[in-house]
Amino acid sequence: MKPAAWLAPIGLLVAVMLAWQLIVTGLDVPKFLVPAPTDVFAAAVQHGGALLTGTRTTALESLAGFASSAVIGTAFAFVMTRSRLLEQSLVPYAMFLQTVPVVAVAPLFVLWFDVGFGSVAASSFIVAVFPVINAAAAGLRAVEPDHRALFVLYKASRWQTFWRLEAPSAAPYLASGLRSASGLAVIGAVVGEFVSGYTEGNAGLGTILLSANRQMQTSLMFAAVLCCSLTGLAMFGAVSLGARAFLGRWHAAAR
Amino acid sequence: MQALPSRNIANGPMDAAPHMRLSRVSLVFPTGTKALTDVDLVVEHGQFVAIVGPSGCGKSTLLRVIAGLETASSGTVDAPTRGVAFVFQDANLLPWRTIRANVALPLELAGDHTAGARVEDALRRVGLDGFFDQYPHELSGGMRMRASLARALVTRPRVMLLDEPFGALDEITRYRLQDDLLTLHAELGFTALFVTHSVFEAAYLADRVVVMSGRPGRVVGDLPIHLDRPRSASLRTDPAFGPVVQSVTDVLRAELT
Repeated sequence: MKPAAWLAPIGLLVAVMLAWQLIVTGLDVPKFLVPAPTDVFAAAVQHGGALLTGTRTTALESLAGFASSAVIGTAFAFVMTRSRLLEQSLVPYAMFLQTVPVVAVAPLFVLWFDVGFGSVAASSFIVAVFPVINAAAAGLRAVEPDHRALFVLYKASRWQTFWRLEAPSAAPYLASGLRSASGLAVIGAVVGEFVSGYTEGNAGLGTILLSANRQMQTSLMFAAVLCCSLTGLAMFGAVSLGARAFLGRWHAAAR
Repeated sequence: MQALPSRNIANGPMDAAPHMRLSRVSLVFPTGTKALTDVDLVVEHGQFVAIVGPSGCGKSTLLRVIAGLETASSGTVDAPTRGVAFVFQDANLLPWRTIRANVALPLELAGDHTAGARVEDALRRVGLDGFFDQYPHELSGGMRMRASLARALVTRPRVMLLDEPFGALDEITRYRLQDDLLTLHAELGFTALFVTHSVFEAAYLADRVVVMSGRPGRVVGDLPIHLDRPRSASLRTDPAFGPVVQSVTDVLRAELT
């Protein structure tokens, strides 16, 4: 990357932080409405232990949600694309499930998985799984007709065609689906925590956000939000790097 | 309608029976489009036949019917089902495979995983020595088409079906590949069916030029090309070449007007 690509966003960040600090202190905005960057920093240091634990908890829940959405979403897409009839039968339900808001079903997960890790991971899964299904199904359908003709011509078996043609054709699509899912998994986990997160000990970022909100600790809320974003970014970055390593050299020119 | 698996393969090129025979082959697509009407075509072993015609006349469809990629609506297709290779309009390489792995694909699909030497031999034949581990996007259009030819040759086919393989290449590269294809044909002796919209290319390469009409495709002319082999680049400017091209052009023009 050219220096400008690094320096420009960092410069912008510094400028915004400075402006934020000056406006908030200059206009004497109450801390509980909008804290200054220095207040957020102080809160982050003061609650460092809780935020670290919270980040770990939320990250683990998101990872579980992401991993299950990757596996189950891909499997679902695979089954869905095996026949026209299967696809026509399944798509309406997939779309129906997609429109159910996660906040509405989270209480159900508490019934099924109890409060804590399981139900939060389930919320994360529900939010993350649809981009995976959509992308994987689109990828499996996107095989070049002439590539397929080649496999027909050489009398390839179903499995040969899947592993040597359909799976590699779908890979770039799946990678972009997984990238979206990685960010969404964190959002799903935080929302899940609002409803059914650990209440003590291993409280996640969503739980910290809620309790800070009740106590009007706005600086801590800002710090927790920042931790959520960083967790999401880290997941997104890791998945992007993984995908890039996996897709290798042909990736850039393939699409 | 893929009738009788051909016995010609077993009997070899010395057999007097033709390598493929199409009788009254018609194809109507499910959309109602008539692609082919009553096509008759007989191709002898080792013959190089070019098929020319206006675009959309079904000449590519005809090739796909012979390859078994499309099924004729009526008529009989007596063509080998094994030992047939197809070369597509664009190189049609798998972008996630190296050149070597692309060429190895047909052998791999046949369950032959120990064919490294044959793959490299095929690549050397088409002049791709040293590009084994490149990816398709790292090569020029001409080199990709060479790799595509290598992939077709690696199974040692008895029939090569070529669907406007050089249409997208620049002229110099096209000439070079035409000459290389002639050399390969002379060395390996396969039967070739070469679809092109270039009368010039057809006359230069083929023993026979089959002219097809506009949609629905029919065979309207079948001209032997009496030019000596081996042919080389100088033929393109040879005084004898012009009249041959002209005779094919006349048939095509008569059909178009």
